[in-house]
Amino acid sequence: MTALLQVQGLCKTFGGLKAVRDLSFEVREGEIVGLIGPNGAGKSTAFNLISGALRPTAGSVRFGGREIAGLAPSRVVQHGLARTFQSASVYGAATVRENLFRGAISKLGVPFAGQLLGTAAYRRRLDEIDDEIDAVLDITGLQAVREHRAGELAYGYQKRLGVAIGLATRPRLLLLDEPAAGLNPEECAEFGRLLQRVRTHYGLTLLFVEHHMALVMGTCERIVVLVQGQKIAEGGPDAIRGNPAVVEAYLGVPQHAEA
Amino acid sequence: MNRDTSLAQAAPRGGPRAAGSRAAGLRWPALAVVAAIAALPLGFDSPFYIHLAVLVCLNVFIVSGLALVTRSGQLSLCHAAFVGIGAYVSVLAEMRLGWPFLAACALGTASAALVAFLLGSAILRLRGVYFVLITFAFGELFRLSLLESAPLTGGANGIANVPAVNLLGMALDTRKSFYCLAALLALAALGFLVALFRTPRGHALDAVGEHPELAEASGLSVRRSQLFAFTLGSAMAGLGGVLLSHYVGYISPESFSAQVSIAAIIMLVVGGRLAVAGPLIGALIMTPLPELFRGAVQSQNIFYGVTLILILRFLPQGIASLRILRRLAEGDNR
Repeated sequence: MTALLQVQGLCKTFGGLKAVRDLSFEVREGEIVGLIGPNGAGKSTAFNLISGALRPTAGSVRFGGREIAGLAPSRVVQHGLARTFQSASVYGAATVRENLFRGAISKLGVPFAGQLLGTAAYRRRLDEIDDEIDAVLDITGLQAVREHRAGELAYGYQKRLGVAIGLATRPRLLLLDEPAAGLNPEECAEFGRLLQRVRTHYGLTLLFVEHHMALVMGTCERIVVLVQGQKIAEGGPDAIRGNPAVVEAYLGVPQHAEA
Repeated sequence: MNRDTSLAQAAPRGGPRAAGSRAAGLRWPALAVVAAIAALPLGFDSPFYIHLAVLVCLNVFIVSGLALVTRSGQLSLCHAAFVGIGAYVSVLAEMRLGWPFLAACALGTASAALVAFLLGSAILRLRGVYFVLITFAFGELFRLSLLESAPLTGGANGIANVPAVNLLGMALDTRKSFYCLAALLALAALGFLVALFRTPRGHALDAVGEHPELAEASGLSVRRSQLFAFTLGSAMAGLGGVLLSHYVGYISPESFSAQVSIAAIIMLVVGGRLAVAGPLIGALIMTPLPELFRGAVQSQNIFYGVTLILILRFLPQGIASLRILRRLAEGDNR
């Protein structure tokens, strides 16, 4: 089986700084993969290169067999690769439901004239999207707050809503940028369960960049370790935990708050 | 096909389902009330009041175009330039080339749209204050080139004796007849915006305006949404300019200066920049007020400033955000 996401020889240089050097890894359909590394290891850069927010200096990112490196993020999403943000990113003034609707718009597929005239095809698509949104609300546990303004929700809920917006775009692969940041241990464990649930329900593939070791070790099936822009290890949680290079990378640098 | 007459707070409160449903939008009594109010000026005897009513309608139309641009998250300081493009192109096509009014009108509007599309393609990658400054520069560039190309545009003297609007042989040369056209267009603009902001395309504009990074990350192209809004909003300014020039009968570069753009922004902010009714409320309040201060031209700007500060301090979302107005507009929606 070919991989869903193939990253090959990815490089990104900022001026003289090589943020990501010759990074290659694959994510297979249905996997949960973690991308970890100490601060400044180039995780976020790699994340932005994959999601389209940055253009790589060299290398390729293939998604479902198609080259997506250098495409605008909105185009990448339309190919089925959605991302969430590190801080809770939601439309604060809109309701939870409206937030999800905005996530679903890109997959509407009805031209503007059809929307304005309210054609039968358009109404049918609206009903379908409605059902999809309901399903996402159920699985993310946001059904109870659907009519609340997103900006008034607690932080943990806002982070969940961020994932829900990503799900509303109907992705095949969801990229999560430090999903545990700012969550307490309890919320973090709940978040891990949410990711598992979502994966099972949608047959989704997950790739996340994370600091929080408990979440990574408990959730990921495979882990890619980045240090100074380079991959130093790849494997299952146990193999990574016992890998001397990884231990050295983590212990050889000043202690990280979340690690 | 818009049968919806809800004017305030276009952001759908019933969620996307209500946004798509037609039945919730049927509010004929409200439509009747709006039509009755719109017909009121026809009963005025004083030409001055009808003149004011015409200006209010044209302002509603022009400021609605600006509202479209700001809803998508960009503030244009060259809105008056697009009004000017519509005005000059249509007047020149009619007076120099002898085109009939409707053709000249279409050309004026299309020119504004085309220039907005090209300008927008080039500068919409800029955000915030940079976009504002570039649009300001473009507005000044437009005004100065009008002044410089005197053989064509008449320079600072402008162009006088612009013929009245002529629709298929019917000249709208009285104030009341022109008012009918202006009122219809103003209502059409409001109706269109209400309908637009209920479609997913309209929701996408709001999404892009509120949180561009998130919108882009959910598959909504910020560039395309803003270009759509900028082109359409500026085309509305162009059409407003065509009508304004043919109503007033005289155009000059100073009619389309940055001051006019700023006046449009003030109307929008005072009325409410996030509500479709904002341009209506802003135009209703800000158009007649300077006339009251005719005797004290010097203090006009002070008055503008004080009003703006008060509104921003106490009603940051504009007058349309007053609860009583929201209730009136939503009415039986609850």
